[in-house]
Amino acid sequence: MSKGTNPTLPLEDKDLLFKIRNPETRNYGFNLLVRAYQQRVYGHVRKMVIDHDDADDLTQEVFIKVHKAIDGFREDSQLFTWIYRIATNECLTFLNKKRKRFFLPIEDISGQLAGKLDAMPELSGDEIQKKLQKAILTLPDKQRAVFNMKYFDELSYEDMAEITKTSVGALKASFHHATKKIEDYLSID
Amino acid sequence: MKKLEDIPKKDLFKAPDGYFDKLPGIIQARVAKPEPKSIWVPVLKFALPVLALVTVGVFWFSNPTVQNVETELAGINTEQLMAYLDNTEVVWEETETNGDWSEDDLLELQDRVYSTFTDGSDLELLDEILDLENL
Repeated sequence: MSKGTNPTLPLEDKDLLFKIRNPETRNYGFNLLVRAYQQRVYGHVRKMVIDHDDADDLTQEVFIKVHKAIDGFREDSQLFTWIYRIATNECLTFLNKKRKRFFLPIEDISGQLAGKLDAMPELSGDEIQKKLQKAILTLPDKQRAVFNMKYFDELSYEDMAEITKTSVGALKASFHHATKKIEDYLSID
Repeated sequence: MKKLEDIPKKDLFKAPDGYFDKLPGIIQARVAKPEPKSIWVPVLKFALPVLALVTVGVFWFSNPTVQNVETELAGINTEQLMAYLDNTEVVWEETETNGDWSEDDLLELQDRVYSTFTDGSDLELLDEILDLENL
């Protein structure tokens, strides 16, 4: 989908927006929206902040912001890219605040997040997956978000361009560099 | 060299059991609750500009140095001033840079780097990539 054209919202999204914009069905419509997007939002946020409690707080904040802003949603992007953008910005703001609060440079925040990975029972015994996740944590936050969206969520570059307000070319370059950095990290014994 | 494509893709970050059943209700309860209004916002809206003005005023009137120098210079005869300048040697070593980059040096370097890009769109792309990679 090229930039600047009005995307056609899926029928489900049109129906959701119609219900939300009707005062009588607003709460019901918003509830449906949360149920439709909560797993994707949580997954995206959790990959960025690692810890479940942090991801839970941020996921709630994302939907509260969606609720506040939904009346101003101009439908010049897809609903899910709009929600993803809010979620991505919440994660980046959270990580920046964390860095400033502890006066730690980026490497130490990565170290802190890597420590949370070590504590995860899901990764216990799976050294290659743990190493992959730690490699991803060495990426700068924005590049990490781009990598996660492409590699794990398998979003198209066009959708990611809507989410990040960055060109497809820059995203492709960033993903390519990220992959190279991760593979270099994985090659270290 | 380990390739990313050789590593199985796994979704490792699972939510606790029942999390997604409860989450919509929790969010609904939060959006239904009106946000508490802070009493400090209107207070700060007026207090901060006043405080800023008072701070500037205190600084301005308690710093006589600038005003005194100008007053003193105005009292010196122009011919005397010219004679003083003619008779005083300027020590050029004091005016040489100490090796630190001045603003002009940085601007010149930036121009040289950017002049290698003949197309404005290359510059835009570079800026986007640098932004994503936090550079």
